[in-house]
Amino acid sequence: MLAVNDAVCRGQPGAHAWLLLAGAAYPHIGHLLLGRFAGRRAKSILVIDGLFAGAVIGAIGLFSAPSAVLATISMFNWTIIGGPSLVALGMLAALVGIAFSGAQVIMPVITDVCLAADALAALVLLSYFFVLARFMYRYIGELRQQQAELQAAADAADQARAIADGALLGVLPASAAATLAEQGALPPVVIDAATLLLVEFAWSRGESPAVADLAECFQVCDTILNRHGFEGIKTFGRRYLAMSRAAGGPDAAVAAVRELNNYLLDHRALVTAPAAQRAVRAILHCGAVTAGLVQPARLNFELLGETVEALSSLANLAAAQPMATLVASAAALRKLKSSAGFAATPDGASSSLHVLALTAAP
Amino acid sequence: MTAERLPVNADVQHLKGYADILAAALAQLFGDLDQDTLQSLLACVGLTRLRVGDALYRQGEPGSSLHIVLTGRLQVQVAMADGSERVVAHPQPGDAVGEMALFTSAGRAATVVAIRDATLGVLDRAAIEALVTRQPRVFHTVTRMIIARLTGTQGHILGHRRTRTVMLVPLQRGGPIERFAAQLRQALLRFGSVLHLDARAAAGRLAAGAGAEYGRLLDACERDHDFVLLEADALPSAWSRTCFGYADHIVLVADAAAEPAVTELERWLFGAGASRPAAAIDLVLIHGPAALPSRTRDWLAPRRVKRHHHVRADDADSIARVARFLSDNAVALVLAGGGARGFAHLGVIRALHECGITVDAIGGASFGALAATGLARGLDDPQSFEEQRLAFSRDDPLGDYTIPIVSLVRGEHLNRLLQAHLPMDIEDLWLPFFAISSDLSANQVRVHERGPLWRAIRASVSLPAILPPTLEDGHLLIDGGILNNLPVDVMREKSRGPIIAVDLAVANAPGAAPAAIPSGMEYLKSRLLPGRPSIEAPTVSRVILQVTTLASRKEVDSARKLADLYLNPPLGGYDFLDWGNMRDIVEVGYRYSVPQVRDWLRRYPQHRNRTDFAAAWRRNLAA
Repeated sequence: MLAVNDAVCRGQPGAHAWLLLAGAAYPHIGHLLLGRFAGRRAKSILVIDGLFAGAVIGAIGLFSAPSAVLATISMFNWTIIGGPSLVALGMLAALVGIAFSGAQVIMPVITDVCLAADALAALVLLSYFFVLARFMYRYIGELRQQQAELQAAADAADQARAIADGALLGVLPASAAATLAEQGALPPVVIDAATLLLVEFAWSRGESPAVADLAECFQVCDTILNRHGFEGIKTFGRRYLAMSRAAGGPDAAVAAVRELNNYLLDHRALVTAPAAQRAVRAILHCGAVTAGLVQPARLNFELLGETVEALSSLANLAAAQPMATLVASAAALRKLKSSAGFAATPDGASSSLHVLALTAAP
Repeated sequence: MTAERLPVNADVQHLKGYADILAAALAQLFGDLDQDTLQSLLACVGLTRLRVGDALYRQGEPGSSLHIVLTGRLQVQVAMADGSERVVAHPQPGDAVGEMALFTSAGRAATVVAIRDATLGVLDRAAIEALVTRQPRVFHTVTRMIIARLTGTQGHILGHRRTRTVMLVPLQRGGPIERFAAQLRQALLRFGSVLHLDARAAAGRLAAGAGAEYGRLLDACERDHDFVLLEADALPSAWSRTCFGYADHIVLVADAAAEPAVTELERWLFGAGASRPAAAIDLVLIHGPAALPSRTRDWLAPRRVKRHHHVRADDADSIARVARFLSDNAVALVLAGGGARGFAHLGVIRALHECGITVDAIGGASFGALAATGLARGLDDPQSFEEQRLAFSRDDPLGDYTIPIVSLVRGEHLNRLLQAHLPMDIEDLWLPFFAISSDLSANQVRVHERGPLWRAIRASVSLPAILPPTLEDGHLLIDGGILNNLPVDVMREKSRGPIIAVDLAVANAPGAAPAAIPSGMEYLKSRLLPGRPSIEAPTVSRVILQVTTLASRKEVDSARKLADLYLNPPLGGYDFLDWGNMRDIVEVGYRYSVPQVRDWLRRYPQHRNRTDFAAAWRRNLAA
């Protein structure tokens, strides 16, 4: 604009050659379009920008169209870069630039600014906003894409978190998982008076259960035993091992197994595989156990001790008992408030087994 | 309606297997009777059947017989001096009613109606007089019993009657009822033993000899289980009618994508009344995996439904919510108003989630109602936070100042914002929700639980003098915090489970008690001129905002006692209008709530619904 003004309107081409050179080298556009406007960098850009704008405005006079264009663009840039509070800094810099350019601050309107310069100023202004609009459009598009990607990543993280939580619960008992998560470690614990309950599911025709059917059995078992104060430790095959630390564990176990048996019988007509009748057999034993991670890296949670070995032996002996029974050890029987209904094994196979026939629903 | 009277026979065969229960009830009434006397009494017993809603007798009527409940359930209600009726007893099988009028010769002391289809044994005055003549000591037993009843020692004053028997009514043939029933059965197991019966299973039990008729069968089922789910047929049938006559709670189950018109089964069951005495009716709408609730009002309009639930097909979480409501274990959250301090609600909700509590119903006043909308719409915690952050930092909802004649702000910005973000009806929210506003025209609290959500929120947050009131049905509505800033009582009427209340009141609000009251000019100078110390002053807006919550302080104190967990984050350092400190306020709410909630869960572990291990890991790592 300055060159046009000098050459066409004033007949002095190259009168402000130094300013042209400086303008060509000025990194304003590059900074505006590609730079990051934050902190001290933004302020320094504002100062340089203000000095340049002031120098040019001073050189061509305050009240010309090109000056107005330059002032508009500068104000716009300063607002975007620095916000209203930093516009003052830009304006201050501009005043210094004006003074530096030849002290034409008090100069009246330049009469030798002509239509060509005004037209060029308008063209520059239009071009500037066109470029800016394109840039903003592209920049906002990128922002939107980044936001969508972030949202997708957050959703994926949520999903992964839910899966991880589920997996942790699947591998570890809930209380152990919570301890591990909250304390970062799961030290071994000795439980002096634990009640162990091993629940075994069977299907009337002896066939292998459908996965969904077994899953439903385990879920129901989980819910009922939880309500009766038991915590699921692990499952293996069709067996489910649970433990209670409560003093009334043995009585709660009897009530829970009765309810579980009744539930399966009550809803045999409504199950996934109606043809197959499900039944339950449970083994109950009490004693001291040690609970902890045997292989921490694999989150292998185990119950250890004589009590667990004894439960395993009882399970082998109880295999000869019919389904819909609860087999209790002598130690468990002693802790029950009432041992009514329990009988020594019908076949006399072991004096340590006491069998309770679970009441069948009609 | 008239009770159907069966003929009285000379032997006990006519009692159709009820002899045992009658003998036990007579022994309880009259003490030990010899065999001959008992047999002669049983021979005099007649049978009466009542349908649900039938009155056995009404208060003040002359009484000439006593009744013994054999199946079903009755309700005894007494008319009070103010015209209201108080329920005083729910006689069950084995209980006797009507004996007082018989022996005192006064009129019936109460009205007795059947709240389930019931079978009753009837014993006339003549038979009892013959008994007293034969065994005079009977009179002493009866006198003791009447005195005990009059003095209330028999526990006849009732609290809430717990739901035991739930009827599931399919509103479409081949709809999602079977799967839903199975999932609900499993969800209810968490709270007690469950028996699920459909027509086939019930017929199988009858055939197996559990009882000669459905009434006895269902009484026995209810005795043995905490919850009995009765799955009705999709079309009118004897089984469906039996379920209807026996349920404490009726749940209509529908595919949300179907037509909402009233079905043939509903017309047949409910008749013109569209209700059933002493049984709450819920509606469950089952949505597809990606569908959002809509048109719920079309489902609700033709039905008298107490509560509705939106459930995603096969989504265990949403079905568990229905189970929690049915078993009175639904956790409800009530959020108080308090301007920008209300951002603390977002922190509290985050803490609840991380501690494993699932909120099942939510409501609030003023900013509390606004903060509740995120959860009610199913947004997760980060989404709720981001929405509120953008709304208050970018959109400037209170930025359209005007000449302060009606209010300081025109409210158009806020209206546009609410319409854009909350375009749905309250009925279409995933969680049961309400907002409170103060009805200036009627001088009472208004509870918004139906209709456009944005209008309810707009009314609830209409801070007097700052935002213009809203107009609804010719009534002027302003901020709900004026009359009830912590509406726990409103929630208590809707939910019998635990209620968590979050209050935002602070003992010493900033600027509430400055050293001296500065003039307006002094205050402006302190704010605008550099180098001057900032003066705290009770500005107009601040005083108005304080007054809004002061007015309902008394109600808040009583609401606090109704809450099971009362949370009051320490927000003394934040002002009503501290919109710029959102993140800090959220964090205060979160940090305060985590230990409180964990402590509460240690005492009531049954309300922990899930485990957020990731949050525990984060806390562990942060520590």
